Amino acid sequence: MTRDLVPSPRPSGLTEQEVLRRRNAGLGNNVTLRSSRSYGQILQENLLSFINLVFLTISLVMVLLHRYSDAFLVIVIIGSGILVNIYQEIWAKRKLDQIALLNRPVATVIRSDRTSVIDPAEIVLGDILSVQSGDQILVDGVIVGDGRIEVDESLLTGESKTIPKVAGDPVYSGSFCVSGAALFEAQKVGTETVAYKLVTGARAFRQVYTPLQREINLVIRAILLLACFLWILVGISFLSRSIPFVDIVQRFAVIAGLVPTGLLLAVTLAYGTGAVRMLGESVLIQQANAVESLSNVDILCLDKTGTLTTNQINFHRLYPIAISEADLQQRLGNFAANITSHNHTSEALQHTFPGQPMVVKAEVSFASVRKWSALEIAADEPSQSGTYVLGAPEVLSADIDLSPEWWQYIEQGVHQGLRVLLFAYTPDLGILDPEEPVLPPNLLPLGIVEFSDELRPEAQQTLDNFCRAGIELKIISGDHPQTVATLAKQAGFREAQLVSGTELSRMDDAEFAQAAMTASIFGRITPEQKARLVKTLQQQGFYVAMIGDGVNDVLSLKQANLGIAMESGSKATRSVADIVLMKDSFRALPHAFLEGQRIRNGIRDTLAIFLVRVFCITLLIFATAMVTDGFPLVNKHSALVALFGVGLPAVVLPIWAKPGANRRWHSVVRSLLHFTIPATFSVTLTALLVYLFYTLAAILDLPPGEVFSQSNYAEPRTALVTILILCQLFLLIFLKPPTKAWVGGEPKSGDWRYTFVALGLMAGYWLVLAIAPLRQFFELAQMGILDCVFLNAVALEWCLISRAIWRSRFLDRFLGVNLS
Amino acid sequence: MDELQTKGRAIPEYPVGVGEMLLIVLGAIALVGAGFTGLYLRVINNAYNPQRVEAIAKTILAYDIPGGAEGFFGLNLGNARFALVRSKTNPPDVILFAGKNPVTRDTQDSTGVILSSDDMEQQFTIRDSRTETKEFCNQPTTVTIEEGDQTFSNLSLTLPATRYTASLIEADVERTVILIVNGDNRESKIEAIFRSLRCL
Repeated sequence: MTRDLVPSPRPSGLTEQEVLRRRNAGLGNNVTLRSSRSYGQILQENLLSFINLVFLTISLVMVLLHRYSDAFLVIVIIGSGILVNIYQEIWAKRKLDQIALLNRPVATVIRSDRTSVIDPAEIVLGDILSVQSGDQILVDGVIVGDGRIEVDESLLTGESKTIPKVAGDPVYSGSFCVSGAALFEAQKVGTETVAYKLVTGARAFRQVYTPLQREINLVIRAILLLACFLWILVGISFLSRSIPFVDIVQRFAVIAGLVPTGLLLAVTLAYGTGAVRMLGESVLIQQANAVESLSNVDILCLDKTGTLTTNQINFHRLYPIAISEADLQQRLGNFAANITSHNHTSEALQHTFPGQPMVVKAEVSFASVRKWSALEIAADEPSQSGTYVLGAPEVLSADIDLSPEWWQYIEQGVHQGLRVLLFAYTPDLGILDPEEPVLPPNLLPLGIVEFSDELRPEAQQTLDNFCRAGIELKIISGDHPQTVATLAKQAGFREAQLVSGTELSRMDDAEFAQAAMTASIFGRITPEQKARLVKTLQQQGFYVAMIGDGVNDVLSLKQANLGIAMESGSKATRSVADIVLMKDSFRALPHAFLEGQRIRNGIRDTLAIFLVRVFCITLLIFATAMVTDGFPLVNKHSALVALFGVGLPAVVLPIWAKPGANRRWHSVVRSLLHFTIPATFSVTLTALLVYLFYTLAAILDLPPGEVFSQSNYAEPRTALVTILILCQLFLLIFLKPPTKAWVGGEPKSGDWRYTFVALGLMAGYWLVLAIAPLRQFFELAQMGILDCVFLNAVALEWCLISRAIWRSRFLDRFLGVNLS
Repeated sequence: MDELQTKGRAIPEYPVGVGEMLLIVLGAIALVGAGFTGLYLRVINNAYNPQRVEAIAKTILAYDIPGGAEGFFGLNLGNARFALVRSKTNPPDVILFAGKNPVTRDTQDSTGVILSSDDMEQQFTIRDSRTETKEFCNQPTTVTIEEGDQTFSNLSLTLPATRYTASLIEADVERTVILIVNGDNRESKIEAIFRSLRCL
């Protein structure tokens, strides 16, 4: 870029009348930027799932078969669950939309020769928009005027290199300005923009599932396959045996009930409520699973500036080299006053040393990858004219011969945790090529400039918390490694191993991976190296979160499993982040971590009872098919077991879940094997024995002249439903043991609420059994007092047996594996 | 704020003591005992239910006992059924024991169920025995005819009695009938009742 003595005039932009006319003509950018799932998506995902369609079909068939109560039950129980979920999701969506609205990016527009900040929806076609380092480009357009920017289009193209843009070059929405400043004219707005066409903008392109989500999806799909297999078997049995069609439909419904669709909805709901809960902690959740994702983190990577520190860069000290301090101050002031693309460092200079506007012939903006910026100034006074460079000493020293005394001064500065830059000069002009920036030759050092930055007051305690939690911390910064190390020490890091970007660049892949694993402080790191470090750690099997604020962190934030941005950071960084720490509330992060654990634990508990029910019913279907002619349950019984055994407990489990780790195994399903396998087998066996016992009793009661297959299964099925519900509810107590007596499958929780819920639900079920209309509706047989006492006694015996199996780790020994 | 932690809490090791194992075993024995007791009571209740016994008998045979009959004891174990009905007089002058149980197809052997006309209230003592071929279930069948005394222990009463025993295997089903009649005109009465039997 070259700005001559008379720079090209700044475009005056559209007039207000033109803006109004264009907006009325439909040329405005009035599209809704989605911040969460749309209403359509919520309805579609809740209503139009495969399993819901299966249930709907079954209901219709039930109506055709005049089984109206069955059809009613399917619609009421399944439908009410869906409605509750839809209501809660919409509630969460509205809350999130409200807060996201406050955090929307804004556009800087020039209209009628005045600069103003507007909402992106107010942009019209032909508007002149200003963009500078760290800004997100909101609409498609073309650069106008003298400005020059470097743009990161990786969200659109997948390529991470920055692309220079000057007058006439197109810019696209969804990309970010990495350095420089320029104006561009909006040429495509609204639905015509690239970002809109690629759905909703940058955030939408980054969809990372957490391990828990992947496992839940796998579990649901596996159970769906199992259900399909059972459906096929039932279909074959209809053809091969004379089973009435209505019984076949009942069996289809029971099998459909095995698919734990409620689990998926519970996950979505837990994420939504978690996000809403975090609003009070000044944490904005931009990706639904972000909070839960945080609880998986093994390694937390932090950018130093703006993350660990407040990013309040202040001038600290000057060390003149070849010129007087006054001259150095004047030249630094002029340099800062004439650069177009400011950052916190240049702003600190500008604030400390006021300078004069001068004729700038060329400019190379600061970029993290280069570590320097330069300006060609044509001053009236010849001694002031020349090319000035401000940058990292070790980068500039390639062309400058610095004496040991100056190096010592630099070393002292970095050891104090200061940002130390070298200011250099050459009288040559016309040597700076903004298109392909190369460090000018023959540079003369003018002085050393030191800046200070403050450690966030809450940083040490927050990092200590994470360290004690076993989360490894790594600081990755563009600053000098020693500066980073000093600040890291202040933040509580001990004996940290340092690696510089220069050293990393010389390493092969194996050495790089080794350094990524062992070192914890990385200095002079380029954005690409940051992203590569994160990627390498992920390849080692770690779950990596990255916290950053600057545009140089965008790549690594995108690469990380979880990207966290500071509110004061660049718009680009905020845009790609999964979590934004509002008011830069670093201290909120541990709260989010605990909330993530809470969500994860709630889903884990829910998954446990779902898994036991699904596999227990499946085994019972196979077992009863082998030993009797009958099918263990009818549709209403299955619904009752699902409602009392899983559905209602699943409402309280995510709500009452507590933070706390459960990370002996990364896999949630794996971590549940100790609990679920013995529970599944023992419940199945107990339920089967009870069913067979009552079937035998039913055979004894067979009216004379009738054969086994004509036995009345109402009583065996009622006994089966009863024992299944009792065992499932006792299982809830074992899942959250209130006392040591219930410890076996899970550690003691000391929380009595689950026990009360279990006992309340047991009472509720006995009421269903006792109230004739309810009993008849659910096709249950009347049970005598002795039967009720007997079944309760069986359930208590099951509790004793299960506890003994868990405590003795009988299955572990039998199978020869460690389930716990 | 709660302490952050990522290390999972281990499930404490609690040994399973002898007392606990004993409790489990005793509990299991008690439950199994209670269950079988319940089944036994159910069997007994059903077996001594007069209406149910008569219904069982009528699924085996049609019969005509002068003065009517009532069920005394019967079992319906799926395809195997046994019923004992008797006349309404006191002491009963007619006792009919009917059984129907499946036999194995290959051997056509009886399942081995031994039927007896004796029960807790009466015993039959044989004095003389012969066989005759009579029509039973529309088939000529060997009938064992026994003369003897029928003793009603609860009444301390002994009466002369005649007993017919017949068994027939047809279509994998063995039907057995034992008919006892006491009193003065027992020969004609037993013959009339035996002729009235119709297999169902």
